[in-house]
Amino acid sequence: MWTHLSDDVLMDMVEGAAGDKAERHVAACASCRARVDEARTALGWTAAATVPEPIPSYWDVMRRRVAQSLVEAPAVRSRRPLWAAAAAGAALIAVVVIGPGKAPVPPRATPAASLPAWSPLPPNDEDPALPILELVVAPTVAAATPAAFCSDVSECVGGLSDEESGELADALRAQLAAGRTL
Amino acid sequence: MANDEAGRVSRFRPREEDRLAIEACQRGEREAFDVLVERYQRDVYRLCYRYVNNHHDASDLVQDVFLKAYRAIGRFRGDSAFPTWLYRIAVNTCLNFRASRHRPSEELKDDVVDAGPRVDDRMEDDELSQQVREAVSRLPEKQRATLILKVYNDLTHEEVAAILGSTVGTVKANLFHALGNLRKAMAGTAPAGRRLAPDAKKTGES
Repeated sequence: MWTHLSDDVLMDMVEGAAGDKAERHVAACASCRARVDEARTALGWTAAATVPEPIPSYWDVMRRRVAQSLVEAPAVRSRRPLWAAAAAGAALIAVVVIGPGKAPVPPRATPAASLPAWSPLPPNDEDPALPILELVVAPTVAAATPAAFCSDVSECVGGLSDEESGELADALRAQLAAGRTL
Repeated sequence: MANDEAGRVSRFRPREEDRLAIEACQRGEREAFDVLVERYQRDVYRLCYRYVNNHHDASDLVQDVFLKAYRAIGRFRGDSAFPTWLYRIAVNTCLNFRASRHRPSEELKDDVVDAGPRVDDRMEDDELSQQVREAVSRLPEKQRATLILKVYNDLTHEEVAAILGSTVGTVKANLFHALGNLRKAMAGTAPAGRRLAPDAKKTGES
């Protein structure tokens, strides 16, 4: 049974990369040979469609344009995953609420919502610690230059450097010292 | 060093300079991105130009491609070569652009193009060049992307497959279909003398 070559093998023929078997087939098959010749003709035409080369100084201009757009662009997103962001937020809250090296504060008789509870789990939308974190972080995020590339508190906190995390912890302490409660 | 099936050396072999620049960018050193722009802006420009056929839009697209790449570089993990990743962004950006506002080709302004050959020689070249570019721009989406990347950006079949999320066999078949459709689209318009020798393989600009 006579079977024509598949299109990918014919492309190999056009590029001169087909094997002897394919070469023999094309030599004997007028249909496949015609298709290969047509494709070679079209490939020859593609060489005519050159892209006009910009003047040499254009590339320096383009580099400056890109560099300028980066200045106005959001910062590079951290490679840390979201769970790390959530954990960082929880850890910061723990530092602020219970302080470093202190034992967890036992439950008090006052309403449970007066202080956020330490939890090893990532904070979720219901976590009572998030509102105070939001109050402290949101203005900083909004004023960041370049704009912070994060959409929520957990993501922003996770993207902070060690130094920024320290500043955030200080800010949280100051908020609590000023008497802010949830 | 990565070779394709014909033994050609891949242009996308890992580059130590790329890795260093990418890691610096991921540490927040914005200036390091300039190294990547300098190295790849010409290839990205030519790819974008093939999609839009005019300098103005190609320039805007190049800027957009690099901006998107910078924003996403924190998530680049080196699973593919950087140019493969960058070209994927470029192809998607061009496809989105074409989907949002398809504009006809424009004449290039003289001040952004080299003088090149004499004017009478250029007239015939420009006419054929324009016809071919427009025929390419009318190809079906996958065939056009394959032809642009393989022929004009001189990538291997493997590299094109990686960028388009396809297989080598599909890339070859799409390229063959693209050439067949280009042949039909150009029938009766391209001068017979323009045909290249059958063994001509190098078809793109450097």
